[in-house]
Amino acid sequence: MSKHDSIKKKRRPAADKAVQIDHQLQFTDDQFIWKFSPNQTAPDLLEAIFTGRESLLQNVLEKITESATTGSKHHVLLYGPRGIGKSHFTSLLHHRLANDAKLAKKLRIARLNEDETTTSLVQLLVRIYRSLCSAYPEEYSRDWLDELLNQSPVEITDVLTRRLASRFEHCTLVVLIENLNLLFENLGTRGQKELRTLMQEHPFACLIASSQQLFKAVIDRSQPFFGFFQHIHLKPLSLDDAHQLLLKIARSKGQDDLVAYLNTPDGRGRVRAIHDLAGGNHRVYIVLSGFITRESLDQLVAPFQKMADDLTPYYQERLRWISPQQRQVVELLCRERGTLTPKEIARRLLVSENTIGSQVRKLVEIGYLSATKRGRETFYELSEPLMRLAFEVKEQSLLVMLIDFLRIWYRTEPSQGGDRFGRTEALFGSNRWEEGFSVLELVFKEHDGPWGFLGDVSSMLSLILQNGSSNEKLVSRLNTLFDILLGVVNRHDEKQKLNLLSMLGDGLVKSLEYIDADHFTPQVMESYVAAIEQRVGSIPQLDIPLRLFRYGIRFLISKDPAVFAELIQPERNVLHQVLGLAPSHAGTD
Amino acid sequence: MKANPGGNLDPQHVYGRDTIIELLWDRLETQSIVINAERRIGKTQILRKMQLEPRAGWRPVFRDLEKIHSAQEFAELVYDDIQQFLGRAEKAKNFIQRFFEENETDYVNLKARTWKKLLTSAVEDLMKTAQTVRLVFFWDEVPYMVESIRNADGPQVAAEVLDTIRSLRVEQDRFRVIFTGSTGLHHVLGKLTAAGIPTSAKNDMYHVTVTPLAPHDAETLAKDLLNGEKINCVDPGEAASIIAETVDYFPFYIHHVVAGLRIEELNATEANIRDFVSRQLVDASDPWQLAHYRTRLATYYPDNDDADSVAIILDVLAITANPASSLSVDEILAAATSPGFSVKDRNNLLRLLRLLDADHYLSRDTDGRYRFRFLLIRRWWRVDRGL
Repeated sequence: MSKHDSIKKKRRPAADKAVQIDHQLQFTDDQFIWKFSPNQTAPDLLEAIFTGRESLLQNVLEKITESATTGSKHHVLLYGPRGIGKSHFTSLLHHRLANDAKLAKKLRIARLNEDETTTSLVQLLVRIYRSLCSAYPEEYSRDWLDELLNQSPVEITDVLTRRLASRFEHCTLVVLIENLNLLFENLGTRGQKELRTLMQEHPFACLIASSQQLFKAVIDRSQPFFGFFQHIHLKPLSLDDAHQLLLKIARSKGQDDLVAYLNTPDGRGRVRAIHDLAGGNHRVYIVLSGFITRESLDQLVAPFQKMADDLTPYYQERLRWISPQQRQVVELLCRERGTLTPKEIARRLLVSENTIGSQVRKLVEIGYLSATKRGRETFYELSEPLMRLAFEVKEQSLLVMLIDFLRIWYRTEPSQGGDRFGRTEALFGSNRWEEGFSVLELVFKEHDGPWGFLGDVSSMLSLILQNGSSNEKLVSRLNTLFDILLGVVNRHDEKQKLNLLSMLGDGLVKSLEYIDADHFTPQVMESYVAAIEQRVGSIPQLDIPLRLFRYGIRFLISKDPAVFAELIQPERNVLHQVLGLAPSHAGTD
Repeated sequence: MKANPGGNLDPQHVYGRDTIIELLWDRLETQSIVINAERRIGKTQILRKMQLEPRAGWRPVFRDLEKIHSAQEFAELVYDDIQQFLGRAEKAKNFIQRFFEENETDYVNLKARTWKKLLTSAVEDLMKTAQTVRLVFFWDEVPYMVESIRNADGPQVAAEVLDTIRSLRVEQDRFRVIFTGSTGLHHVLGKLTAAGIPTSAKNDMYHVTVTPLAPHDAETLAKDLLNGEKINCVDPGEAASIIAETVDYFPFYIHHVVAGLRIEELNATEANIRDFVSRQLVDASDPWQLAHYRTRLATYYPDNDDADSVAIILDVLAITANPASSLSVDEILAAATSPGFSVKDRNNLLRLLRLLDADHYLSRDTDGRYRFRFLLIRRWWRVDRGL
């Protein structure tokens, strides 16, 4: 019996789960991955899809074990932006601790409800005690607590402090707190000082907390909790982690065909395309997994559009967590095609450059933006290109065009066209242009699909550039070539037309690889780009490939990858790949 | 043992502090104590170890005073601690005595008396006890409390609290306290003096400065942490030695480095260790919050252009050819030629150097020459100031 089968047998559906179906992914009749509340997901399912953070989880478990078995007490703050997987991590930690027989007598766990607001130490103590009452009703009496609430806050604090200190004299209390920044903000300086004092004078608890970012109360030396927590940054998922996560979810759902496809180079290519846009956001993959099948992953755009519907409110919510001025910066970058410098952002937002400088640095710190340097200038972009979903009109979405381009770009299967352009290329190479074009037309005339080879134009394009004895001839030959290619495209229905244009765009970018820049003057290269733009620049579906092509030529002229600083990360990745440069990361160009 | 930067340590996990703890217990026989230390150097762990493993005949009460905001709160806290210590019979006897002497009628009113009376009578009661075990107060974050009282009740009351405690120490020769704090008490006293209320609140106390660990202890700590975290290293002794030396033997940073190696799943090679520490020093998010050594200058040295001058003094000492070499007062005066350096006379420079010594930036050798107290901070200062 597979692990998945055993999970299915153990779990039974709860009656009220049916009404909540739209907030979760239904795997089987009784299997759910909650997209926005991982603590509601069955622990064994969370366990089955846990990816990339096992070592970190072990590390935290060891810390808590040491806290439970010695006088040491560890305090950990996990931080990372919303959707990075903090709740999944915490839920699994809770599950493993609660089921560790060796720790059964040595620790008790109070998991605080993240939505409850707490404005004083006494309220916090009551919440902790109430959580213990729920988890350990035989040991902690709710009636006793209710009775205590008749006393004054000072007395309640005093009694609860003494009671907890006495109950945990030979045992350790683990307090799991989500959104610690909000808790501390609501407690205020006075509440924080009181809590810190309690922790210092009665070290019976270890606090395992999470927050979206590091905040003043924990990083400022003048604050009571400075240096108190060990800060652990939950980093975005790597490409391999993301691939593993999708594989594990597919296995859990019994999607054997999807598992097989994901294990092919092409399947990995599709994940790579998603990864470029998701920025390693854990939640995006969880959401996406609800829409992908073997077939839809192949097409990619459809599940992506469905996912966009689900993720739009999530990204809009994320924007509500930042200050109005920071939100303006993010909004601007969401609307913008590429990266922007602080100077340009300041100009557009009518704010001083100094103000913007500090805001964008803060946004980088909290994971909303990434920075790329070019000389003394810094260019900023969204860390997660998908954040554009908060503002984009889906029908004209840059993201949809990008995902479609990346789908073709990261495919690995051959175009299945064989060497259909070989004869034309040979004639072009011999300067027999008219014959070459005639042969090309004949190839298309005689062919009756599939048309996957349409994008194999790199060699023809580079031959036109190489043998362009004059600008007029270069322009004329490019026009003839594109007339023929677009003629083929226009013969098809709208859906197929879009697909063929994507392939053509893919071929255009790939042609950069064939250009030996040392043979051409910058003027010739610029004429070449201008001619292509003149001919196909008005076709919206070629917008992304043309832009990449243009920047690719700029690099070939300048030999400086810093020219890519104005492009966003997924675009830079493509150009780095085609031009044989080291992988691109924000900050390295 | 797991790396635990910032958390509470089991007394068995507190390394290299036995000597200072013996010294503190010895001193307590005759005198109260002020412990000076840079924040995160481990003073609280020392007090906690003393609290959990007290010398025979002593019962320590550890209190973090950061939460105290008024003289009354402080007096009630001390009163409660003393009441808890005293036996029931003694409490009853004291109550009856006060009833006759002061016409106090009940326990609640007793606590509602003015803070000074409450504090004084509580300590007097404590001194009269027949118990053979002596109570000693470990009061952490005293400067924060004084500052809070100054803000809430005014400088006069803040000074009175300190003076009352001093009077009790003088009058009750068995009354013992240990003051500690992460900011120097001298800054708070300076503010009181500036408000026209000078106080000699700690003149009778023995001053102890907690230093980083001795190299051998720091290496043992690092080695045990590497072992506890199961971090791969070819030669654990050598790796431990590099870690200890790179972070200037600060136990807090030793814990940090080992914890960091574990999280990043790095082997403890010399290159990885040095790279990890270097990254902490240049990381824009300043994970070790070393920028505090710069930003607090304006608060610590608010007079005239003192903060600018202090920064220039530190610049001068940060760029000496040999990190460990020191400069005389005259050499500093000659080298500090930047336009922002407004200290032109020797006495004024000496004043700033003494303050920098008290604030743990600098140390002075027996020849009166100055250098950075911690090479780690010197290294960070160079990076931060682009020197």
